[in-house]
Amino acid sequence: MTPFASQNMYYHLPVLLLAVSLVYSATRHDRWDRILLEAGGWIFRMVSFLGGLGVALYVLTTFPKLWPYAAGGFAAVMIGYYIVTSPLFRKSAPPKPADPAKK
Amino acid sequence: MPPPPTDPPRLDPLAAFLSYLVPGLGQVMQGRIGKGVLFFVCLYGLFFYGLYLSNWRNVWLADCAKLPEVSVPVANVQLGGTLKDLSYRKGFVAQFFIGSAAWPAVIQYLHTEALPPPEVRNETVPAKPEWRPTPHRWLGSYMQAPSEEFINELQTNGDKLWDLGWVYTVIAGILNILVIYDAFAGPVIRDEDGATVPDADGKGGAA
Repeated sequence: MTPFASQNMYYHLPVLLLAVSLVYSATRHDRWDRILLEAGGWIFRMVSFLGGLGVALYVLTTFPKLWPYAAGGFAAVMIGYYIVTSPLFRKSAPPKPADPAKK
Repeated sequence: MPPPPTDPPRLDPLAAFLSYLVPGLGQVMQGRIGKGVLFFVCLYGLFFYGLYLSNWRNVWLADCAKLPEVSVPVANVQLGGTLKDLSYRKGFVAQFFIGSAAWPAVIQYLHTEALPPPEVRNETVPAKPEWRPTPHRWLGSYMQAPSEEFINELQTNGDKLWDLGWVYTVIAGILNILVIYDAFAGPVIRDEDGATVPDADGKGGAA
């Protein structure tokens, strides 16, 4: 294998991220602005997920005694996320004003 | 007031077939040239990059007639012929959908002799000489089933890029199924401004 390829297999990840996000988004929309917007969103989500896993694994392997704090922090973030996004805590839409033409 | 019902998308089997042959070719025929070029560059880039990562040796289908039988777990039905070969090489089902780029593997499958049965190795039975398939007249060893020794050598002394390249080629084939559907019936989400599904004469849709 070439010297570049033998360095780190994660160097090849951007090719996969770009291709998957662009192709998937282009099969869902026909307008370029929406294609690029959705592709950017998918790249952000995939990088966030994989990067989060990488950071968590790095912290756990580097500081193995800190795993209860890491797990607690992760649980707190997840609980907070669900509280914020849960429909139970969303404000209901205000009632529409009555149509004066019907009076 | 409910929105007016949208017209059903016009189906285009010819464009779908063209997009199977070469990713994006159906979209180009429909006038959506930009999307077609995007599909072509992304999918062929992903597929051949995966081939490159694995030393150009991860897309193949082998004749497994001499290998142990394979049965469907629940139905308890034994597979034979091409289904048995595909069961030994399930990834090729996805790789096949990249289109004509995977056809050399089919040609090699039709012209290469069956894989030998697994070797029984112990102290009394000497190791057999390495099995080497006869190279194709035009394709050589490109997309030909490698020997068991070659795969063992890759898995033992190679890096993980061979497996990563296999994943890339499989994902490229799966993504092309979405591209084929896009050529067949338009994008999944039909934009409300009407610039979505191409007409039969190739007009409409994003360029």
